[in-house]
Amino acid sequence: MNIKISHLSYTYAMNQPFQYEALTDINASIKSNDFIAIIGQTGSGKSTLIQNLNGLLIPTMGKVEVDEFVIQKKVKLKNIKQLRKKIGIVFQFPEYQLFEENVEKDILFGPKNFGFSEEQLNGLAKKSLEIVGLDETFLKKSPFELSGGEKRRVAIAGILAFDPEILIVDEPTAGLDPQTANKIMELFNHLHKVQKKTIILVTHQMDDVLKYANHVLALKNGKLEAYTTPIKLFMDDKLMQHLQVEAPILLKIAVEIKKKYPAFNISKVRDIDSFVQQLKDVI
Amino acid sequence: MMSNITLGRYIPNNTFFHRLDPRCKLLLLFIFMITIFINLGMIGYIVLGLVVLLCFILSKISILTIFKSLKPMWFMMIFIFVINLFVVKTGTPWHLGKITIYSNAIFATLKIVYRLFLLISTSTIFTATTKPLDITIAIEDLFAFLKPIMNVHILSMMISIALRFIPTILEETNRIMKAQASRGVDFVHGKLKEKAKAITSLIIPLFVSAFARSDELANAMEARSYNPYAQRTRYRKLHWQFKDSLILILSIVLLAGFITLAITGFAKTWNTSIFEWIKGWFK
Repeated sequence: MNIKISHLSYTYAMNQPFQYEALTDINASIKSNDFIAIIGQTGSGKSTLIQNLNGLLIPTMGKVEVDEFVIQKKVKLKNIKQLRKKIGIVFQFPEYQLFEENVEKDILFGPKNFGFSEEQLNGLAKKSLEIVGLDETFLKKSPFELSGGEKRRVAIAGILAFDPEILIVDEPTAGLDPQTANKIMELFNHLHKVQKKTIILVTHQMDDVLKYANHVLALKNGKLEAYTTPIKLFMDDKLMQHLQVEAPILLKIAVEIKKKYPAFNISKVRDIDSFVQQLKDVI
Repeated sequence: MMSNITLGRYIPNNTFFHRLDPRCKLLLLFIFMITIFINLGMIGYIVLGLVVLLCFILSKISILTIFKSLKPMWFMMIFIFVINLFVVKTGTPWHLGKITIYSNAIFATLKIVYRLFLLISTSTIFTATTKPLDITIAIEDLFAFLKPIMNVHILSMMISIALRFIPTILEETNRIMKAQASRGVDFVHGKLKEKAKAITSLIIPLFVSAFARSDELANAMEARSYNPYAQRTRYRKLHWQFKDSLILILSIVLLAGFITLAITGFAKTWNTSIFEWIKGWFK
């Protein structure tokens, strides 16, 4: 599925005392099976942007096209459920959406809403739990007795269960310990690489952007400032200063190394392993 | 989804009403509430309506926002009207086929709706021009005479916390609704059973987070040594000014006038045979 965003603007509380323009004239297109990171400071419109993609918010100006679905003001979207089945959003702190008496029921809540048959539901909860790295003993547990990291994985499983083609995740690792955060990021990478899903990741972690994303979409005050590859963005000092974003330390070290060893290929640095590999090649 | 809620929200501005002492405004609100429930007769209600209209102009709040927030009242209006149709059997009878409608049924309904409109308008003007914190200080001050019997501070603290968390919980509701909508929940359409399920998926997470939030707040307050029984000083001091006294006296005079009219029975005469009463003057 391809997403095409054209002249998208969104204003909260239109014609009311609290009117606030969150997005201004965004133009971008997202190709199928891409891994995109959306970055920007708090209040730059990241969350508003992703909510416009599956019809939770309707653009006040412009439109969003997702294959045959057109999200536009004054044009009623008939099969909005189909759209939401294809674009799954994992919100920030998704553990707060859990409500069923046990994990199995909660995971199957989404698929049931989207009209999955009994056959399809059979074994689906277990399969979804396996993807997020939890075993079947969790099925009968209450979602409220789990730890924070487990809750979040169950919530993510609840979205994965209805098999969306595009997965949007809003700061999935916020407030988690580094190990769990790492596992969750690897999970999204796996979904991208193996299951060929389109991933849209909203994040403040520039290390994750460098490591996983193919493209990065940078917002500031509701305006699209850059839509490029992570390396190109991080190497553009002027733009980085304008966005008030700090490049990953790894990349800063790489820049210093390149001064001494011009053969060092910065564009191949994505994480510690690839960094070490480049270093070995040069020295 | 919930953008229409303007009721009870503070709108920052610097109008005459914003600058009035909150204690004065609270007393005004009480006086208005009493006045509204006195049987005023046609002219009395028009005078009161004009006073409320003046308040709207002075506080720079658009009456349109009030009408918007009155939308749910249509159901109530019809309900009251139907009840009145069967109960009220006075006034001019109108024959519509086999049904007989009495004029007073319509007037009585209109009177109730008009009173409700005035009530909601005055309380909206009050909350829109007074910061929640100021409201609680005003309550604490005005109920200071109860101090020997009970701890007024605890009461006002509870009210201020409740008021403070209304927008937070509304935001939370909005967030959970969106998260569940992404899982295929339809809050608007569907059968009764589906709707009940949809509401459950909202209410349970809302309660869970509200309890967690209150627990955190209690801990945060205790961590800063909050003790409701301690002798307290105040950072924000209120200043009673001449205009406060003036406005208060004016409205008390208005109230006294209305009460006298109601007791002397003028209101009733006005109601029924106002023209004859005027004629009487010119004889």
